Amino acid sequence: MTIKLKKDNGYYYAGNIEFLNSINKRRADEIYKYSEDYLSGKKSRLVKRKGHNVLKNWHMRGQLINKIIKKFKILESEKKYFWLMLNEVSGDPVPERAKKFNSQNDFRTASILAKYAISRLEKGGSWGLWREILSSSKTSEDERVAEWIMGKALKEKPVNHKEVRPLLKFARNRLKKLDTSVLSRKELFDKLNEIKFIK
Amino acid sequence: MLNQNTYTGRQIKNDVRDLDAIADGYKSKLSHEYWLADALQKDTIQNSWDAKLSKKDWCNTIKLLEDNKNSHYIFIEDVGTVGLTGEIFSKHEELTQILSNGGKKDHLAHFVSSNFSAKDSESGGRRGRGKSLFLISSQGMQFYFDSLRSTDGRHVAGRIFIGTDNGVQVEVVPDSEDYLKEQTGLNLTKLSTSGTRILIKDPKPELVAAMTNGAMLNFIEQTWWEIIKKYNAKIIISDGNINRQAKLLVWYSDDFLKNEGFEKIEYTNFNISSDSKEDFRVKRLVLAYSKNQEIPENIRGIAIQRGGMTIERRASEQLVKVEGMTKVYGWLEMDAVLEKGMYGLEDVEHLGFSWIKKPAKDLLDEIRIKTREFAKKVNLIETELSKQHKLHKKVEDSVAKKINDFLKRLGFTGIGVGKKKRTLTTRIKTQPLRISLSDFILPNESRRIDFGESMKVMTRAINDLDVEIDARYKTWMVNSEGKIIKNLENEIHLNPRSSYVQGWEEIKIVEKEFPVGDYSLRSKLVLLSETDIELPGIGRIEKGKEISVSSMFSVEKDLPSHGFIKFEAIENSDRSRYLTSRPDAHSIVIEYNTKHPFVSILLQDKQGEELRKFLLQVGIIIAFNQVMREDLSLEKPKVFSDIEDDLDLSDVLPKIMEEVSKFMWDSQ
Repeated sequence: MTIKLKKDNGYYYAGNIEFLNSINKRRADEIYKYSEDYLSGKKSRLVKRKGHNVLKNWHMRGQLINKIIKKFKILESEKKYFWLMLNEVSGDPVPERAKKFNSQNDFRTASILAKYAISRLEKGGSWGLWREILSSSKTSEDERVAEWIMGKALKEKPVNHKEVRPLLKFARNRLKKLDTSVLSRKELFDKLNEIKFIK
Repeated sequence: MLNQNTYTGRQIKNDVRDLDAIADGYKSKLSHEYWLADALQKDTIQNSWDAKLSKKDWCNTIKLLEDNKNSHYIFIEDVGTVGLTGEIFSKHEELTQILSNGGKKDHLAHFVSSNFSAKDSESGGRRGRGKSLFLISSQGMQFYFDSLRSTDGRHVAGRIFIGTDNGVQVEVVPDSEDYLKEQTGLNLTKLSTSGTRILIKDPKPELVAAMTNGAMLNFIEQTWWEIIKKYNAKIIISDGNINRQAKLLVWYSDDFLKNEGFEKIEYTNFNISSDSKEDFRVKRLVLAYSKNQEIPENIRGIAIQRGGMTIERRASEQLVKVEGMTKVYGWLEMDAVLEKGMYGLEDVEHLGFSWIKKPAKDLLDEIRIKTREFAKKVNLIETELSKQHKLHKKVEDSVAKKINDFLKRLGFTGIGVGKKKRTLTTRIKTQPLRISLSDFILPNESRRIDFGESMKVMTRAINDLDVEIDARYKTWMVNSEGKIIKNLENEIHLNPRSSYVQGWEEIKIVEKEFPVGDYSLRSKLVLLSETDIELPGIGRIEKGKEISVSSMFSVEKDLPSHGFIKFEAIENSDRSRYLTSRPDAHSIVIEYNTKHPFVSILLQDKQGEELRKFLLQVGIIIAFNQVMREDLSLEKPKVFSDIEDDLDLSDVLPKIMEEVSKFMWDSQ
């Protein structure tokens, strides 16, 4: 399966191109066009909405993105290209970091955040804080780690980066040299719940 | 012994001389005729911005006024700031007590005192230089102030001036709303919103000129573009007739950089140092290349931002010494931790940093590396070496290895790595659970393989433990871009004291599958068994644990060398380019110019002996210069500890030469 992306003055198909055929191409074209119309149209209205803070705006964008993911059944393996495509269609400049590391992509972060109620997220912290949590190496490798940190953070009601960094650091150290994909949810959370020093 | 004639009292100070010294400090750093206007705007706006109640409602106005006797005044007014808050005092003792308590909110007490700033690293200012600048700005060395306080709605006013004893005198009058009007006869309205006003009597002529000819506005736009851009901050300059609001310089506008004639790169949220306990991060480094337009001189370079203001601009052509770099400019914003670290290295005038110490040194190295990356991207640097240079590569590598081995013994393995602490531990024994690459066999030891040659690639997972282990076992080969060339994956069961082999008995190198480049063989076990076993160096043998190995090889080329220094030949007709050095990842690259007549004559020796001697001699000097830079940036320098505290530049070369001499002595 593939995703369409811009290159120079044209486009190319990224992803599993060994199996690139007319059906896959058509699907990639549709995803691109649909996202462009859907996201940029709604986004511009969102941005204009006064009184919304940054977190709310990204949360709403995340909801839109998740609808696209659901509609086209975007695969996990396609997502790193999909986030880049969203950068393109949104008209925002694509940060270099986001090109290299999809964990740094704000659309990816927004998509994860949109799975949570905005009221819960707002209790936890700002957009910048959630972005830091979700772009850390371990949370980006396994969404369940992000989920654990978010659960923990919301419980502890952190208000700033300083409070959440020990959690990120713990997760990073505890899961160092561990491939969490082979762990069940319980096994993973048992390891993470070994955390002792957080109040 | 004290007796009845003993004199005790406070030392008498000539404050005018101190003010002259402060003025000289600014003058020497801002070497242009309007230095005072530049310094005044920076300090004034920074103080005001630090005291803001909200970004939205803040405004700062600097006006030139004239009274009916043709006397000039500079009137500085801010709106939406806290005002001169804190305890109001009427006696000298009370003021002393407030200052000794060190309360951060006692703005009034700090404002009228010297060297008692309430600022910390989170604010822009320090040591209250702004007040001194007000005095310096006035020909008669006096200024008035009044303030409406946000905390209690009270009004406070006063005057600071030079008294007859050449000392700074202070007058503070509480609850006198018409003080400024009464003192100066100017038609000034009463303050209605919280904020502070400064009235400088008889400003110096060059200051008046800068207010009327636009120079002051230019300085503001060059310094405060970040807060104008992000928060639409209102800063107004008035020459008495026309009000002009500082605008965002188009060069810093995102829309402008989208124009066709520009290439831009943005690095966000990256860490600058590998060995620091602190998490120093750069929030944003933006680099832009203007293909056609010349960049105005006053915004050339990379603007180093702190607290919303430009502290200094690092010249692009000094960061990367190639032609065309003056067309590269940009800016750098730091996160709070890095701002705090850099604040400690900032000069009192807010005009520059001391780039020798960490984190500034690491930051500068990172800026250099990223600027170079960008220069390559926009084709200001050619990456391919000529064939002739490739012939000398062997000489370069052997000399670099010799120097690197020597530096390694001193503990220096790379820049930003610091001096490695060597602990007396014995080598960890072969792990009982491991992957062995002893059957990865290349045709020669250099790890280079050419087209038509073959290699054996077998990897062995070994379990010497007394327990059974289940695992996923993967072996694969990737190129330098991360593309997988070959891949094998199995779920395996390892009995106690057994092994499992997988791989390829023979792989013949053909260009289609293995184009010229660097490759890596990787092999990994992901354990699927839980045990209670802890192994030194690996940790707990638990489900999910990864045990991996890798080995590099190159096809039709030599493997890239590693170490503190590397050599690189360049071709440049610039007479001033002989030898230069630049940081590159964790190394220092020493560039030697093959067009320089002194170097080109050495290259005529086909054996490379002349080049070897040359690179050895100059390489070690430059390497030691970098070692010293690394060493001095550490909290406790080891090699150059005796010149740590009082760095006298004349000590540097002799000290380096002493160390070089020892190296050269042993190298023959």
